Amino acid sequence: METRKRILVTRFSALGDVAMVVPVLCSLSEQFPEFDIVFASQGFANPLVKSIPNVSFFKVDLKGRHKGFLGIWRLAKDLKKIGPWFAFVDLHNVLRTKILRIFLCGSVKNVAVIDKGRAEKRALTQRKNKKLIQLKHSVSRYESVFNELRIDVNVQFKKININTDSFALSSLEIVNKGEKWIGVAPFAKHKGKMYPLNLMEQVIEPLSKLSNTKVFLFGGGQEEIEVLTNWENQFDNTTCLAGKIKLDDELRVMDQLDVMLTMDSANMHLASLVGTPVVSVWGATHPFAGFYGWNQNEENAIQINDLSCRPCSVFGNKSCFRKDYACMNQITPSQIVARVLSFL
Amino acid sequence: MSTQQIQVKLLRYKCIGCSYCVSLAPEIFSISVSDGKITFLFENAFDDDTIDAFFDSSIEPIAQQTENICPTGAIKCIMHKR
Repeated sequence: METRKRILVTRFSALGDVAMVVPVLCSLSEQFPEFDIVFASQGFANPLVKSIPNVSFFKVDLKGRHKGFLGIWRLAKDLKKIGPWFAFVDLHNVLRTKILRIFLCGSVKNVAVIDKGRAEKRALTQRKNKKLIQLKHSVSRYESVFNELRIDVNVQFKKININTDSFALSSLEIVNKGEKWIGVAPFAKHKGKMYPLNLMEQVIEPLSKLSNTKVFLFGGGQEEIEVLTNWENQFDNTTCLAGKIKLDDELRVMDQLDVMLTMDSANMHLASLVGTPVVSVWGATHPFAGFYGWNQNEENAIQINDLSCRPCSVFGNKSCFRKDYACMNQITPSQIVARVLSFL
Repeated sequence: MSTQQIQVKLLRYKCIGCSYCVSLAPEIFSISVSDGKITFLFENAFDDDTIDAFFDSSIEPIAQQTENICPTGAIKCIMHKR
């Protein structure tokens, strides 16, 4: 009996990076149906891959069973149980997965590891002699890892399949009755990637005045939910989705949006997965680092181009050496609104 | 038989050149090359204080949207029966 080849793919965090694995998994599943792919990640990633044929999900519990050094050993043990593995594709390449590779040694035939291009990213963000050139997109980096195993996958991803029926959305009366829908995800993990909230209010205000148009606010976390709920009360035609629906339903709403406004954050990647046009705001980071939304038009990245200090960071986690976050504060709300309106 | 037309008035002295109207309705509005304020697409170098024009009523929804979103109230739309 012919056994199907199993490939283990790991990318544990963060949501945006995990989302960028999806185009590769979809293309791989389509172009190489002979492989069984097991994608190991944290539970939040399950909704992103569950509709992909030949891809199954392995939940990694980094806060419980798979926490710490012993946890990695248990993870290796759990993964060995569902082997044998034809290949281990490490798309994360951090200490945890390096140790996992050692523990899995002997039970995996082939191993391929991502080259994150750390040196070139450093050159892009250094203060002096910055090398401002477009680096390889993360999706292409993921693709190259499979190519290393002579699996010549060619990413031709357009969008994931979304089942539009949702009880949660209909019970919240989030049903499109022919309106224009705008999504706004104003938060990002770090200050350098986030448009100031007082300016973002000036973006939402005119959008909320449009007739036959709805603005949906996306976010997560208690403080974020408070801000978004205030905006929901403050502005007409504005609905806060944060804390009300799960990721599956967020994707369903994103799928129906005419345009999504995001920072350089996970929501940019999620909206890209459902093929929705994204207007993204960039501050300390830069699309050149390779984290731009997949298949998104570069013209929809709103950024200040003539600041010599940009980009100062790959992840937006460095504090501003100028102290004024000019990269964000110099972007006017009207620039953003005008770009969003061009999609309506 | 009566037909409807929409009169679009541009109070250009109020315009701040934010270009929201142009983003929404590039087939109707443009920014004047003379003073950076709103004008009609067919008057691309207009620099007077006000301007108005009549259009077919089919543009009413989009014209109304631009009136709603204009932050300074520089666009006024008036429906006329003929």
